[in-house]
Amino acid sequence: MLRLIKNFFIILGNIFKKPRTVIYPREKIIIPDGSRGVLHLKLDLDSLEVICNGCGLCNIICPQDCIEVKKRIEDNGREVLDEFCLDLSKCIFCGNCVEFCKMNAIYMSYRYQLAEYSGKNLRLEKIELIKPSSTIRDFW
Amino acid sequence: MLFIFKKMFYIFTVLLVNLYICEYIGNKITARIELRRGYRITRIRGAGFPLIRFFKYLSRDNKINFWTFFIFLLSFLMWSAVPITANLVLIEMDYSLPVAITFYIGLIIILFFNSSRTSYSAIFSEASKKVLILLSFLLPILFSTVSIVLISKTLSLKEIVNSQYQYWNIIFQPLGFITFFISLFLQLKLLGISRKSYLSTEIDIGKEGIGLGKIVEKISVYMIVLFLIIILNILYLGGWQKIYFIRGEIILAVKFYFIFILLLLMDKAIGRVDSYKLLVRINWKFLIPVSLVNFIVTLGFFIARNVYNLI
Repeated sequence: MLRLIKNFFIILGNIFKKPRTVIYPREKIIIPDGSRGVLHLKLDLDSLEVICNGCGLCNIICPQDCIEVKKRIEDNGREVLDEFCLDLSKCIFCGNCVEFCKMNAIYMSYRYQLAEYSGKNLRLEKIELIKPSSTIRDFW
Repeated sequence: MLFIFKKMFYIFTVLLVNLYICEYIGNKITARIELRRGYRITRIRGAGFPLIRFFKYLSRDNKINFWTFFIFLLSFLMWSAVPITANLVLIEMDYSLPVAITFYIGLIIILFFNSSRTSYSAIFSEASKKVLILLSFLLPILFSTVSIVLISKTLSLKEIVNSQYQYWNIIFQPLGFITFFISLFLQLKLLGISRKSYLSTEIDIGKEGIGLGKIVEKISVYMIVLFLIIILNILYLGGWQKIYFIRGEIILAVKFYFIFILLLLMDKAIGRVDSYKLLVRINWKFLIPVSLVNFIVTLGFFIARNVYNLI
């Protein structure tokens, strides 16, 4: 009986609280800290080049096999990333690639609105992954 | 003749407007309790919601199953007759009583002989079981009403309201009020005013989204709630007795919606009832004995006061 009375007052209090749901296209909530969005490649701030050297560890570790990496060797013998391809239709945002990357060259952005009309658009190339994300967490 | 039609028109308009408001309030409060915003597609804070839901159901299907039909008959024919008349009708001895008794006996006989295991008979037995439980909830209401009749010594609703000009009957009959209220609440629980509080059965009778049958069922549930709350108001809470300078009709409306919202909140607080047995147990072990004791005590006071002039 006491539980019922307690329940009743909880419900009564809920009426005067602010609703948790939002009207989606007009209002947006702040994404929780540590959410996983689309992958991004980090840039070296001095040279503005990709930090990734194309070792291919992320390709091996990916459980969905959605990353394709190709590297090339420059004239001076340095290994450089040539192609980096991410298939978003397969990606499960597990974050293994970020954890296992030796160079710390990948991070997960807060971009999460990924609906597209065709499957081709879900295949992101290197240039698109380098672009800074338009999604800033706090302003969502 | 025209006068009667005019009166009927007024009554149905008031009923429809109240149904609309009740449905709207029900939706909004349910949403708020669950910390949702509720239906917002229509403008003005979702005011067109009941209308849109009505059309939604109408467009789906037009089958009416047996259970829906039964509930509609019960609610509409039983409860619409009582408050519209000027007097309380407890038992009509001429022809209604034999009809009611035949109805009861017929239901019980059907339940007895219903041992076949086809799906139709299962649905029928579920529905008739529900109807019998619903009818058994009328017993505490009857006892409470008779106690009120004893106190005010009249069957006329007008005189019952006028006799409460000083103190409401709830002060003299708190037990009767409690049993009446709980019985009303349990009826609402049995029929299910909101989807989640619907009593779960082995067979899904009258679940959400059936079509025209759902509209009929919803209207009949609201009809039971509406009329029972109005009777509760008239018997215990002073009816249309005006307070200071506020008109009686407004007072009645305020009390009506207060009780309706209270019922909705209690419905949400208690949650879903999973078995008939709990409702039956509450009815036969608490409501009927308490209302009977209340009736006997009132009868004792009545006899001591009016027959022997002791008090």
